[in-house]
Amino acid sequence: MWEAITGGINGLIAGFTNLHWSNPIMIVVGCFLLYLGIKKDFEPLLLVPIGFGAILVNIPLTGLMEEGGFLKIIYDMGVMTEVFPLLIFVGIGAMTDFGPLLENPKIFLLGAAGQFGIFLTLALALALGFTKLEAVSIGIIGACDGPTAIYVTSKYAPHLLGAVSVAAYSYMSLVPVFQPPIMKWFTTKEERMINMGVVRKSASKTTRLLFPLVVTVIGGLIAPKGLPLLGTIMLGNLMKESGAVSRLTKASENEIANIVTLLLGISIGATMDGRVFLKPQTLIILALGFLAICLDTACGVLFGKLMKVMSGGKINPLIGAAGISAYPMSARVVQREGQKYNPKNYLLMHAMGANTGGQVGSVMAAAVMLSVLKGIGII
Amino acid sequence: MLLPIYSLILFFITRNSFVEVAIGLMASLASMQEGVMDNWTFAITMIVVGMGGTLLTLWILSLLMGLLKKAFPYKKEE
Repeated sequence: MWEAITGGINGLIAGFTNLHWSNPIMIVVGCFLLYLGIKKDFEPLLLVPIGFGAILVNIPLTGLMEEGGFLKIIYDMGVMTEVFPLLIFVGIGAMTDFGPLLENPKIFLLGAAGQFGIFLTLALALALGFTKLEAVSIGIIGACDGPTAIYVTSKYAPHLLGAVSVAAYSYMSLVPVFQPPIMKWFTTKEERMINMGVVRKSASKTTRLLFPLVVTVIGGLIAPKGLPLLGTIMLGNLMKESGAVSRLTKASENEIANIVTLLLGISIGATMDGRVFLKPQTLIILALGFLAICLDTACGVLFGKLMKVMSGGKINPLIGAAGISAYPMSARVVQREGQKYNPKNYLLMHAMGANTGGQVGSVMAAAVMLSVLKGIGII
Repeated sequence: MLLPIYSLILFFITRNSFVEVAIGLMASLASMQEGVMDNWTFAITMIVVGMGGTLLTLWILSLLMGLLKKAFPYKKEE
């Protein structure tokens, strides 16, 4: 009798007695992510489910991430199979207007320059002792693109998924904080004041329809390993531009994107078990991720300066900072910074072009990286 | 000089992408001389081919989009 009562009471206090020292810390981290998402409005669509998932998984003996646990089922179904990031990409493609990029296709190059930080950080991560695939997953934070980072990391370094995802989404929302100083350091006052004029509508509907097809086919032939990423974002864009499947487009932008975002966020949070997450390398990953995005910004601005020289002074180097994939936040930062030095300067549409170029660039950089890895024989 | 020609032949035989074949051949040559690829070689390969490949691909896409814009010019009534 007493044994039964004692056993029952043990069952009720087992959660407390099985707490690892890292669990309460991670519960606080989860609460902090909730604070960032709810109070500070930092990427709430992701940080809120991630934060809550982190809290859930750090309560012991729940079995949520064991075989048959509901978080494990969602994680295996959508993250391990890479379906979730790809479905989100369809929605992103459906939401993105590549018109400003098509007005001036040369801006694609800024989208490429804005990804250089990925490769430089990869090299640094290798120097710090990470394995090749871990370095790739850390470098991809520089893509400043959550689904791309999740796609690569879940495949090649799933034990880093929590840290990489949190870094990618948190830093995206910090773009308005760390980009302006970098933009100022690498440009002169005269350069910041360059007026680029108005963007004139010059891309026909046929061009807009052919754009996703051309990018998919050419990009896929050059870097086949990245076609899932490239193909899904371009599918979304094709649906949007065709206007023939508005129901599918609306579903991709809304219902599908929202449901998948919720499930993705909570399953990423579920990887943040304190025993796995709280290691010195997590802090290094967060630092390297931050460095990657800073390097992206710096390389984008420097390339913008090169384009300014080659265009005879017509291009404002500030728009190079929008060559990262943080759409549309980065474009707005460029607009704001441009107007600080020249109130008559409307850089927004030019920066939007660079920003959407950065979206394609980040996917292309990941695709090229994966194809190079395949060619080398690493994967 | 022989490497691109050999890569082209292998491309048609294996149907892998030309980039993968070329990279694979270069990596094999490096490995034959040095054994397993070291971090330094890997980093340089990723920086040169990765950054260069991304830039080149987007440059090609920008050229193609420029051509498309010329082939299908914008009409005001749109």
